[in-house]
Amino acid sequence: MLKYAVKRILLIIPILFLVSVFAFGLVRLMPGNAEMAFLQAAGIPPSDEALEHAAEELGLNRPITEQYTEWLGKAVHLDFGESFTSHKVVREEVLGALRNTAILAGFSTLLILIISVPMGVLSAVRADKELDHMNRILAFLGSSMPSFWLGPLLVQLFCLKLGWFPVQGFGTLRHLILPGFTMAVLYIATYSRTLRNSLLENMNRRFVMYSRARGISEKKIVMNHVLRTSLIPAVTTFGVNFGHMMAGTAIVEILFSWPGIGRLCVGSITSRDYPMIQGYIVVISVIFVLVNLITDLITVALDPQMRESL
Amino acid sequence: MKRKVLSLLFAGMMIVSLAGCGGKTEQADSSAAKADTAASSGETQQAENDDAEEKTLTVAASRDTGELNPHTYSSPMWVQSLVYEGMTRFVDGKVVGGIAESWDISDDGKTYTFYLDKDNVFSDGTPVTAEIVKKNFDAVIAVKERHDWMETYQVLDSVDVVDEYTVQLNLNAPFSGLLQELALSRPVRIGAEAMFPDSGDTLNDPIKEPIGSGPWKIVEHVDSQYSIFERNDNYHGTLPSYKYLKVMIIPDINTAANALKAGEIDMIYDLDSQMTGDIYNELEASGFTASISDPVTTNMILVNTASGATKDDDVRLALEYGINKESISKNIYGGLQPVADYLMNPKTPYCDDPDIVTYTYDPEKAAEILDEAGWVLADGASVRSKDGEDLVLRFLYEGDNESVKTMGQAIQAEYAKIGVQVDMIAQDSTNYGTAQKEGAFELLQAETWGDPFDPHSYMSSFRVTTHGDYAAQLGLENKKEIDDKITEALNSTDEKVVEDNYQYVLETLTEQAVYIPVTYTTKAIIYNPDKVDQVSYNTTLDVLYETFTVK
Repeated sequence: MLKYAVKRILLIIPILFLVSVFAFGLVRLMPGNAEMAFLQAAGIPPSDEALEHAAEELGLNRPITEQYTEWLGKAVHLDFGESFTSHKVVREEVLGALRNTAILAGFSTLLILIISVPMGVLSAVRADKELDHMNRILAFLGSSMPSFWLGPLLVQLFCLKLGWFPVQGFGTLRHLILPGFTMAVLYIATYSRTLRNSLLENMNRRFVMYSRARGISEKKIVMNHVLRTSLIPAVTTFGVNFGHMMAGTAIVEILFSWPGIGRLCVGSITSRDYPMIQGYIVVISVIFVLVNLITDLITVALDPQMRESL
Repeated sequence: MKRKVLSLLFAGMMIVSLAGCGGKTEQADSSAAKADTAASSGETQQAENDDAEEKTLTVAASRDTGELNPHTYSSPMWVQSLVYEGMTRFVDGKVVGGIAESWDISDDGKTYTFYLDKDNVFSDGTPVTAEIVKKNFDAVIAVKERHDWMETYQVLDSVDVVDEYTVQLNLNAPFSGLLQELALSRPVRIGAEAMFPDSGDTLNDPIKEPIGSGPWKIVEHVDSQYSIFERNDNYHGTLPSYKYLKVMIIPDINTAANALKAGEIDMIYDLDSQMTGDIYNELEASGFTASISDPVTTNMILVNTASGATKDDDVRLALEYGINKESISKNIYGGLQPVADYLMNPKTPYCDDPDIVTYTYDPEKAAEILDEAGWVLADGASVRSKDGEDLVLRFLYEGDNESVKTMGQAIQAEYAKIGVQVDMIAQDSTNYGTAQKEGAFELLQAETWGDPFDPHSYMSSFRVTTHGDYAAQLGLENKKEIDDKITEALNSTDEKVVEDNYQYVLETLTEQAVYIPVTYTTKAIIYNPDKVDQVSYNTTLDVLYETFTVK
């Protein structure tokens, strides 16, 4: 187990190196150039001279390998440079926005757990009964509603009609509820169904039969034995999805004016803010890699068969 | 083991999200405490209403207010104007005094002497002297090649202190638009000594504190969330009648509209032209006071005289007659943008020209012109052709602008009726700039620059090789004469010469059908009549918030 963990951790180094090459290369392959975007953001007409000055100011007139090595040298010390447009330190901007997104994603996760686990368990226990059918319809609706449609609907009802929550902003739990729920709905729908199916599958396994034979109550069997085994696929999918959640918040963040990483990234792409986009890609990649690592370790810890196979 | 791992995982998640919420609440509490008087809604607002002086106006902005460096381009222009004054100010289409009360211009037009208000102080109480004005100019002149897209920084050589309250600007050539360009919110707005970094290099080093002599001073800034400006009681102009201006950063116009409905903000001043006719009409119907400004810029189609079928004068002329502006104004812009007959709206300085021709919608005439010019419709064809060349035009536009796209589609449909095929090419803003520079279009959606850039800075750009206007005008026989007339106007001190030359240029460009003015853009202001009393319009770069009154 320890050997496996060390191997996985060491593998992070080449992965991140490749990420740095892609991050640096891909932003420069985007159509359009940063000098032009820089001038447009500043409201300066793009004459040849102005473009030259901008390239010089942004350090884009040097050979690309030189730019890359300088950037990489700083990036390993977590210095991603300054934003082209706002002149702010990229690390602070990205981490600040990331923290805000983590709050949103963390809260969403909490909602997902609180809602999808009971939903999944109840659906499995009452499989093909009314409650299961109802959950199925809800899950169907939840997974088919895109956030850019669901969000405004929730705003109409809960902010404008009922006045329960603020339309936009950041800072209190009341600001968190609607964007958090908007993000969570899709995952609740998916997880509750995954969990239900996995529970049903495990309910037919032999250890359940033996437990019943031992006279253990149905409730204990489900909660203590079946649920734990059934959580494995959910934890694995969640690992992948948490990264997606962190990286895919842009729509919800713009919709609710949430100052998070998605909004920052979309703005940076529009303004071809290379240092900001690079910093974003690297940080998000680190999150993906770490979450995947943790998920794998947890799965191994949860699953004796896998542990033995290592 | 398993149980432990699981509970650790759950506990970890709970802690992360609770710690997040807790931390945030704390921060929100502390900022709420600071901004208590400034908060716009709920009980706080009511408490404020007891004291007229303490009132707050809460507005939405789509971009963060930024670092507020008066010599760089990173903050929105209107925000820089809140905090810093320029030498002059552009109000209602005229240049008026700013930090300078009055000025003299030498006969050769190369020396401008500015007289400062002796009682004027910065928001930190330090006096506004000729020395500090010079220091601000020097910081910009030191890197003037960064600003030479403006005529001012091509001609401005040096600044001298004449006495404690008199400064002199020395130019290497006269420039008729100088006073107008000095009203711009950058690159020279005057900051106090306390603003300067130790190096004095405001381009490369961050400023210490944003201290100016404008009507407002910034008291709180939470990145990407909001900024609170407090009235600068030292301001030498009209003092704002309310104490706080809170700017909420809301990138999406729909969210801003909802925030207005929910009472979270008092006003939307749509500086970035995100407002759509639908939102505008809906808010108006919901009881908000909605109005639009005078024309700000001209939304037009630039027709390339140096590429494809539009090299033909008659094709360009036919295009002028083939466009239904009334319908575009009404149906696409929901009445927010009135029909434009001129490239420069007649209120622009020097541009009220009675002799300029206008074109009215007449598709039959357009078809006739094309027929006569040899662009004919073959039997069964939907597109005209001449000498084997089909009348197909590339229409280049910024793809992220929905209204422009819809306008393009309307124009496409109109031109199809007269046998002209239009291929729409959407580009994002960066590529749009590049393609425009390369002249890779027959039709290009563009806008004039608005005051105080119009007419000087905008028409000056006609001569700049990398500009879409330059590329489009290249096919004109009198292109050189146009450029010379503009240069002469820019370098003249004689108002008559300036006016005559600009009018010559506008007349010839209109006669040769290089521009199709479609609508005049305006800025929408929508506010809650229970909170806001009176608003006014000025340029997009300088919103006169100090003249607004709130309830």
